[in-house]
Amino acid sequence: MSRAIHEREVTRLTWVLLACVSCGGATSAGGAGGDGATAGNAAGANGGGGPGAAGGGGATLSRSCAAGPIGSTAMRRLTPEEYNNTLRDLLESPGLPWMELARGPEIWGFDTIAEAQVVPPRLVDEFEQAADRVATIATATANLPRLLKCDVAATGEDACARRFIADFGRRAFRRPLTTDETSRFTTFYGQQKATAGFGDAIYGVVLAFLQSPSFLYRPEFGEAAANGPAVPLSQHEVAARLSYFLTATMPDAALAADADAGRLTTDAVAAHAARLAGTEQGLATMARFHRRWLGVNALAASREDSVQYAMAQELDAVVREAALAPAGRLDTLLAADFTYANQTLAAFYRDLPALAGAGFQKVALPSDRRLGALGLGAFAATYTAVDQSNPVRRGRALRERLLCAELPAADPNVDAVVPMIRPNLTTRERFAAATAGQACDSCHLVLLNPPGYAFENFGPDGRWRFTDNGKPVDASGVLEITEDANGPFAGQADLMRRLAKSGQVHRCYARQFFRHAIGRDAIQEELPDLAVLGARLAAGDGSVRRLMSDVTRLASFRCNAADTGGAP
Amino acid sequence: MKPTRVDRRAVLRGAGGIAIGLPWLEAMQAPRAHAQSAAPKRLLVFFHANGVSRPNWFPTGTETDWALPPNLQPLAPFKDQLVVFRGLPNRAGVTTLNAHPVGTSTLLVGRKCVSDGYPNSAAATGISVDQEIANRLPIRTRLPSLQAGVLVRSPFLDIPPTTEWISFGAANKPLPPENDPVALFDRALVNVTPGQPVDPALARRQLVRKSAVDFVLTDAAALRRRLGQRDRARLDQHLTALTELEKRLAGTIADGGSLGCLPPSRPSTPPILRRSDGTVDFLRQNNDNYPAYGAAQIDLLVQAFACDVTRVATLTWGGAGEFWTYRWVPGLSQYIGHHDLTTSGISTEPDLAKMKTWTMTQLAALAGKLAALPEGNGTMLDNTLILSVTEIDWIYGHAFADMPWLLLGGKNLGVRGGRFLDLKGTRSTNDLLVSILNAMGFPDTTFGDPALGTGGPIPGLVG
Repeated sequence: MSRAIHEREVTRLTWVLLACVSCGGATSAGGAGGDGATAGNAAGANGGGGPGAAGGGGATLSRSCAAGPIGSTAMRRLTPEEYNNTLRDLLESPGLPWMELARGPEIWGFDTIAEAQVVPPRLVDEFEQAADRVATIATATANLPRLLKCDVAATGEDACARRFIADFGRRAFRRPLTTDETSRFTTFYGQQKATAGFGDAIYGVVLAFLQSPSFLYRPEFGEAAANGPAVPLSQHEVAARLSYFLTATMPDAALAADADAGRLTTDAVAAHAARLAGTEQGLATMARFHRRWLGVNALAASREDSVQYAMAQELDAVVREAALAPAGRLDTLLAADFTYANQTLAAFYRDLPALAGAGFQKVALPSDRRLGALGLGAFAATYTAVDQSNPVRRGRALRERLLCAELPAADPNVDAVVPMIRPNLTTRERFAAATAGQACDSCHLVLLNPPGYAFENFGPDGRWRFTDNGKPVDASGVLEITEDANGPFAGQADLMRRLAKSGQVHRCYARQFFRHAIGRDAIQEELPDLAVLGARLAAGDGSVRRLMSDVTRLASFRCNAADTGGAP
Repeated sequence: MKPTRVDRRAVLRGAGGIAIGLPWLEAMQAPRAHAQSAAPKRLLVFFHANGVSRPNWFPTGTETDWALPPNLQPLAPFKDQLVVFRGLPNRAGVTTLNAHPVGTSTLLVGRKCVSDGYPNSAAATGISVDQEIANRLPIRTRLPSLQAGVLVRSPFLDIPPTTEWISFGAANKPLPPENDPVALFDRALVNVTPGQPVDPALARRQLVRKSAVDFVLTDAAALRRRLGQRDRARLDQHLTALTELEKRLAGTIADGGSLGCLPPSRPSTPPILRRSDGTVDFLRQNNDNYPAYGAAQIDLLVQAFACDVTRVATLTWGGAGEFWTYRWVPGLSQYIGHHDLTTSGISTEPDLAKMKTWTMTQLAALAGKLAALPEGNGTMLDNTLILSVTEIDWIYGHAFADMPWLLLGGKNLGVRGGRFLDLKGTRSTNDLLVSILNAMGFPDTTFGDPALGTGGPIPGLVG
């Protein structure tokens, strides 16, 4: 690929330099990291499982809120995607302009984690400006009747306004307004009408709803009568958790109606989950979840005619078929021997058959070379430098995303520089030399470099290569960082076949769903639940769709522990 | 607002928000700049990214007998108002963090920054000189300061955008630049039409906007009471920001203008380009519209100065580590992001030089617009000190030893232009910040961390 043509999204700037990392004592633990605690405890973790594992899951999945400790999720704020989706659904205006909002940090690639949802300085301003734009559009003379759904001439301004406050408020807050709220909003409407007139008063009411913390945040107080360290969420709170988990927007009419009627039993929630997972909004949301999981979401912000953008679409298509289809599975996603390419991509990759016709078509990947979601250009091209591949970044990404094993922060005292390109040395040789030495070996020799070397057949642009700097690529190595998939590998395809069978990888994948859906990491006591979910996913009858429903059955999903202070 | 001035909002309320005629407008105006004995003193910080290409930037010659280098050719008409620095280190720069956010977090602050826990990020540890000046100026303008940006966007999506911020009210209180000229217009210049009555419909809406924020602040109290300590802390962050916003909305109705003020019109900057799914297509929009946004922001800043909306402003192009491709610049051999070009290790100096010359052309355009507006016994450029900065010293070094900064204009503030000052590392940017304070009328001898300066201004620069 010529860099001249393809402008890059910039999370890949080369000044992201990877340091030698001081792992200190952590190295002796081998694959030390977040998931270690579950190592000994998941009976079904090796992948087999079958009906037995599913049965064990039954017990876990029906646990009551009080049966064991669960973590506490802080009040979440709508992410930029959630905010925009919600506005369109709330206003029933698919053509509403996209409102640009400041983005805060992401954790594990996700912006749905409560802890990440700090309030960036300009965000509150942007909410106000967006509210003004939306309210101006919605209350324009031509649009006002559609917003109010009320015949002002026949019913009267104030009666229409009261109805509007109740209906719009119920949908904006994802629950009925309290009596006090209704009265406060009605008073506000009256004041604005007195000074500015009816139209501007409705404009003001919309502004107020769209800036209210009850709209922008999702506070969870639990059932009114509930008591104890962990309380069951209210019907409306469960409905909101579910709809934002799977569709990144407010509950749709069917879900909201069941919440209003108090019909959201655990089974009913799981049934809604199964339904929402199959909607276009659900598929799009969970495809984006996978982009974020793999850390490649930035590609989707590239130019529509760029190879990078096509790579994001390629990944989405593979995710949709391998994972999100009714029988989709994680092992299929990781070791799929097919992809979806358009003419741009086929010409770019050079190892796919030439395609006739426009659009994305399913094609076989070249035999025994590259496999699965991590064998597509998106992964290799994201974790790279501009003019060379970066095995350290790739190894680190694989550890964190697939194994849930995190690394200590890089040592700020180490001068971290991507090794310069030199004649006659492959990238692997240069990285091996640059990360050698006592300070570096502890992490690089085992934890970081070998899984990254498996991707050395992928150039910096994500394209397959047999030689690097004129010498044959060596993508072989020994995997030593997993609990159940260690051993030698010849290259990327070999490595992926190993990882696709790993119980640890399945548990980690379930944990990523947990993090996104519940907005925090699992606490120690919740890790056995994830082992059960991972085992059910790996079982012969497992599927990603079932994992989504399983997540909603967890006590951790249906309940929240009280906010006892501490960091958000 | 000064106590002697009439509260415009009270007037609007009293008048039913309808007929606001000229006499009221006159009564409420800020003291006219041209009516004062001294013309206003203004500061404008012009930020461009990624350092410079040294061979194309530094002049040759002596302090007073020197030739403009290729990058500075566009400034030829203002050479006698230009000071080019060499050998001027930013001693607040630290090398243990990424150079780009270190640069932005220190350049106007003059104190070493600290890690904020994220890689490729850095936190400022004090107030920046522009805010120090804005706080201390004796005349209260409608806005204490204005931060404009041209497609300022952090290269990193997953960390605080500290590469976007050069202006700070205090440690951890950045004033982010406004990228959208329309929003900047709405914040700074809406209804600034001297001799014209306020648009009653717009003024009415403005009051509703403020009332809605008031209402939300009151209404949130009920929610706040029910939250636990952790969630309440998060909500309080939000409500604090909302309180600040409420103050700004209260002041958004214009005060009028001064002598050089020309009625500005709402910018017609290019529309937001979107992909088929409706999300913003950042790259397409940003690359192609960069010059148009830049031109609009320059116009707005000049108008904001001319109408005395503010006297302190920053204009940030792209942000530190800028990655736009500059493909609007003729003759580039390839289109690679500005930053990537500086680190790609291939021979890219000619392209970088063309990019930088383009940016200096924009600085010249800004200076030209100020120079075209008469003010007092000179022009607005004579009363405006422009400090041109970039966050690192040169493109391949990414360090702070030799900051290629400029001063432009400010003749009536005592700045002695027409000079190439090679300080050979004997002074620091802290001293330059002191010089700027002196030029703005404050006799300080240090700014930021005193240990990083020499305890005084750069000798002979101002006075």
